Amino acid sequence: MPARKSATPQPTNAELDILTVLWSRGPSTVREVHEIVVERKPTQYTTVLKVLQIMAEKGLVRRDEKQRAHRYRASRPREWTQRQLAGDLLQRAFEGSTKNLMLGALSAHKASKQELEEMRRMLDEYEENER
Amino acid sequence: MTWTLQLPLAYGLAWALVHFLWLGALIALLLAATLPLLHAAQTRYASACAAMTAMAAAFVAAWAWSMPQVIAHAMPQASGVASTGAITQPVGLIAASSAFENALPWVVTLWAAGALTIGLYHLGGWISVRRIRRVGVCTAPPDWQDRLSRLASRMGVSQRLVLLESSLANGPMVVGLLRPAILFPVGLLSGLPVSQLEAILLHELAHVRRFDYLVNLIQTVVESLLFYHPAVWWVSRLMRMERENCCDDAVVAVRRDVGEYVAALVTLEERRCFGQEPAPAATGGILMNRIRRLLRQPEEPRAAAGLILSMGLLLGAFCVIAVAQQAEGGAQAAEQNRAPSPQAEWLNKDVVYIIADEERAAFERLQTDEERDRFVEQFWERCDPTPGTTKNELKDEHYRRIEYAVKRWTASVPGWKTDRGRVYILYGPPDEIESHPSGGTMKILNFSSAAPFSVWRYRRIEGIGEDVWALFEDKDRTGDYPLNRELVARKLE
Repeated sequence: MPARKSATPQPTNAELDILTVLWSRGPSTVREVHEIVVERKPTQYTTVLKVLQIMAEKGLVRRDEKQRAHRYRASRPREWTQRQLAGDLLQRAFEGSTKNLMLGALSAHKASKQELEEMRRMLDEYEENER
Repeated sequence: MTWTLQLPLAYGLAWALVHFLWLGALIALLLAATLPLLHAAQTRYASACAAMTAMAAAFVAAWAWSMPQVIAHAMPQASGVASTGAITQPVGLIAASSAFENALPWVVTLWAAGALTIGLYHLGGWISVRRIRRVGVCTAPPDWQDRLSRLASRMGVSQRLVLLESSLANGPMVVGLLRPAILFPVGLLSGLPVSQLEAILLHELAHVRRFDYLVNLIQTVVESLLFYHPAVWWVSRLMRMERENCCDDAVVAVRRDVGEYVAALVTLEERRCFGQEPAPAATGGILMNRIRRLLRQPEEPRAAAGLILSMGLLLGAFCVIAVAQQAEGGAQAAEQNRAPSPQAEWLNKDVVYIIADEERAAFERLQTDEERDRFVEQFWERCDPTPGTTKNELKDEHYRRIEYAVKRWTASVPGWKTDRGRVYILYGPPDEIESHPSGGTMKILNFSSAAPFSVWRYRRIEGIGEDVWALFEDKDRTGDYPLNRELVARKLE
């Protein structure tokens, strides 16, 4: 099946770790990425290099070849991948349990748009008074 | 569905579940009455924690209390007469009523199904949190690690902590029990002013200092087990809310700038796209009320739906239990009106099924109570399997059976008088029980009935034979389950 252009494939766990580094530190060389990844997991430099090459093929990262040491940067903004992963994560986490929706709503008590506006208004009011 | 009385744990559990309806409501009402007197978030949180603990304790106590006693009460040694008193006493919380008894297996089954489902749900949540801790994270830049340890010492946290940037977290959170990590969504560190980020870090540090992660885990377990009671939801919600308030207060105590902190909270909420429990998060809880509280604005009246529902359940449960107890009380009152002498009761209740005709005749010929007391003593001595010791195992077991029968089968007549009671007292616990509380078919006995029935099987009864079956059918639906005569002690090939 031909992949649609917009559908960048889901990153694997190792790829996600590297993407996180790129989102955190901005465009980086393989060495820079490796230095940060190795702080949490013992990883070979060549492994990081190989994963980054695969990611470049998949279109998850772009390679900037202008300088002698190639710099990689994430091709998508972090919000986009985060949204994709969050949806998938929920599915995976509650696999086998069909009754999760009932409590899923409870855990997702995010403030509504009106509430957010109200909060902003209260904050502005407070800061007016303080001044 | 099979319900065996060889499962005293399940039987006690069923009653504990019923009794917790009013116990839980009572605790919630006590808490609700106390709360208006308390203003500091810390004391409100402590009271909510105490209420939650009390609920768990009340449930366990009700369970222990409702369990059929397998070991007989210690019998007074000096006189066999006095011992009968222990048996006619009301048996704790248990007000056996047949309609209730029939529903008990369902109570346990439904509860188990619900608790399992919720348990699985939370397990899923927990696994997902662990994944968030491990996958798609990188350590934050060194200057932020320094800032974190500086803030940690100001907050009084001595634990070693690490600040991670995460692609999966959509809000700041603390994760981990032994080696906690603070997770910030990747990009947040460059997206907010440093002073606001520090305020958020302090909030997370307050969670670490207060061991909120652990308390929340325990709370979630209790909540999952007592999921069916709205009072539990209410207390749990209160705990979550006051927990965040406590952390807010801790932040404000360290940094005086309330406006900056609130601005950070509002910005975070705006950036959030999905919600994730059960990690205590800076955006968790009812943010609106927290912000009102921080800015000292009047709070909106809190919804009291859970409380009202609890009160309803409380009253309902009281009514049901009162009716059940009245049924038992009536039977007992009738018994007491006759006011039999202890000696007569010994003959007509305690040993009615085991005394031989000659012995009965001899007892009836006796003139004085002293003679009768001596007779009782000698009667038990004759059947003591270990004469010479102070304990009489046979007598103890006999009284245990009587007590069990009273607890278990008292409906329109005291349990020991029912056929099940008689068979139990004579032959002890059956090897197998199959209960059909809503009727059904028993193929092996070629029997079917729309009325509730229960089949007992003894592998062997001395003097009767091997593989003895007894079928009790509640034809009149009185809960007494008379023995179906045609099938009594029929030996099956």
